[in-house]
Amino acid sequence: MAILWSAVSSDLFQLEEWDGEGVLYLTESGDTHLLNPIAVHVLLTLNDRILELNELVEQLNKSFHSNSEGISTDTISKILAELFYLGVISKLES
Amino acid sequence: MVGYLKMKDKKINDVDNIGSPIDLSKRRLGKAGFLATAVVSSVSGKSAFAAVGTTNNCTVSGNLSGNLSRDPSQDPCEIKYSGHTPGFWKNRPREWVGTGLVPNYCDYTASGIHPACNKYDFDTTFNSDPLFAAEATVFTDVFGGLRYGSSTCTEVLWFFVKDKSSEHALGAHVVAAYLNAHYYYSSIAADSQFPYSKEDIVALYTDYLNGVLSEVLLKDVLVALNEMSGGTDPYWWDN
Amino acid sequence: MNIGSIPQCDLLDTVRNEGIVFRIADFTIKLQSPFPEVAINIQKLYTDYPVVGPDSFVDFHMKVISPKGLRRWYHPQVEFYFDGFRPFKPLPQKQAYAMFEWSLNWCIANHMHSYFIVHAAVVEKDGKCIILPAPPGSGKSTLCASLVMSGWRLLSDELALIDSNAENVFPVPRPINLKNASIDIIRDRFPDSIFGPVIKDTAKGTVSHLKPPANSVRLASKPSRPVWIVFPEYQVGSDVVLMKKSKAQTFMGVAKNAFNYTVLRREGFNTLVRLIDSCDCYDFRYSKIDEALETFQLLLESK
Repeated sequence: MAILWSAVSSDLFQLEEWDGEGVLYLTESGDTHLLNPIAVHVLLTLNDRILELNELVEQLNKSFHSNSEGISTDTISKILAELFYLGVISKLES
Repeated sequence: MVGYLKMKDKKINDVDNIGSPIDLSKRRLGKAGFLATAVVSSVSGKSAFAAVGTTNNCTVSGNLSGNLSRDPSQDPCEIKYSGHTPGFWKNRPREWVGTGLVPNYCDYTASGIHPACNKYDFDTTFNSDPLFAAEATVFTDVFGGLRYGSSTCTEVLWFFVKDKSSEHALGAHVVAAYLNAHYYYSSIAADSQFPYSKEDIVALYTDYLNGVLSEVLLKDVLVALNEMSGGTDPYWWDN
Repeated sequence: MNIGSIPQCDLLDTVRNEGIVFRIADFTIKLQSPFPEVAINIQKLYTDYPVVGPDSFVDFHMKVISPKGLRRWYHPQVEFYFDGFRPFKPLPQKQAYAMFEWSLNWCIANHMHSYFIVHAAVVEKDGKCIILPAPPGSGKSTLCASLVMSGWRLLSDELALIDSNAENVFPVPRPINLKNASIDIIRDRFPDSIFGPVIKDTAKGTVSHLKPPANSVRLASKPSRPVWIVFPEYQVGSDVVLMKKSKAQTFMGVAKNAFNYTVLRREGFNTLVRLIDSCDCYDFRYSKIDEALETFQLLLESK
């Protein structure tokens, strides 16, 4: 069974981005977080569509060109876990 | 970081072009560029630095306001002031341990003008109690003056509380205030439940001995402080 | 009529009794204090500030007074009351004037939530203003004093008041709070500078307040457009360095130095977004005043 990821309703957060970095405002708590460029891209991508982890990794590696092995699944997993903890993405089981 | 300019170059015209502009469509990231954590830094929605927004808030902008510590007496996060009476301390010699004052044993059943207090503990009934092993503190040795002669702090309390000796009222309240200061004064303003330190109490009595401070005023203030036990009365300074 | 035009005895009487009512930019203050040094230094440092009628609406009713009881004369203290409320523990009486200045900072920072308020110095020249957010010890006030004594207008040395559209910073020019070595640095560099009392043994060490230029006070009702946000850092012996700072990092840095960012919630977030959008952002490191002044002049000329 695959896990699908998606951003939550835009009522619950606000993201502003400058030069790849982003500041994320959480409506309920009032907390504000500085996100690294990859996390920003993950959130923006999941705001547009629902994806599985592997699809997301592939998408990001097209957008970011790395000198070495590319962005790993492990890295994206950790970022997903953080964003899930912050409450800005949700997961569904397909 | 996009770039920096040392001022030896003497111009900032092309500062926006210093370093490589960041192109989102084709990011070039070395190994070190990947950040495993999404969140780089955070500002809590309940920042202690921020004002709460009402006049009765618990926080103070310490960065702005010099040495101004919050006043617990007008603080919704209220701290209770504490102070115990001479009678309280008379009956709790065990609580004197560690305060710098050593009690001596007084016979609780004694009556008459002077209680039967022993300076040394080793009488037949109580000679095993280590509380009274050390020599009891003489009032004058700590606070100075000649008023109470060779009386110990314990005896001064007893004279006042048991004998209702007005002569000993001031001394008794000085001892009580000293013990209250030990337990309830803190150099951290927000934590303090008693406004004077032990050193302050000694200094107050010294000022009285030197004629700077009247007995009446000193006693009135100490009485007010020592009678605040467990209460929330914050306005000690109004007494 | 300005405070400076009131005869000293009259001012002493007024401050001691019914209180002096005067304006600082958009704020009206009523100050009462029995301590002569408070009145004397108000006259010295607030010379150019307008007095208003005693029946005017007052934003902040302030009293800097002696406590009742023993502390009136034993290790005498001073207390501050705001609208009858005493927000702070007392200070030693010799800090009475500083108590007024610090307490007024608190009044503004805690009550003017129609503004987005940042702990920052703000200076302006040629219609462009620079916001200098900084925690204590960064050298912000020394830098601010240097700029202001060199022709920049002082909007504030402690509080940037920004409207919700982030289009304007509103002035609240007041004496600049300098500490320790900075006092002599500014006094030596600018011999015409006028200082209030030098107060020792405060929690911040030795402090004194620098009188703002008359022009800054005269223009107190004129807001200015924010163009740059610069985070200063004084570092002994360092070369002067001006470094571009990412906008997202600047956002976080300003939010951490803002008094009411969390109070204003999403409105605060959006105001700060607008501010960051409209400003160029830098980190600035310096050790010599002349190099700092030169850098800021070059920055001004770059736009």
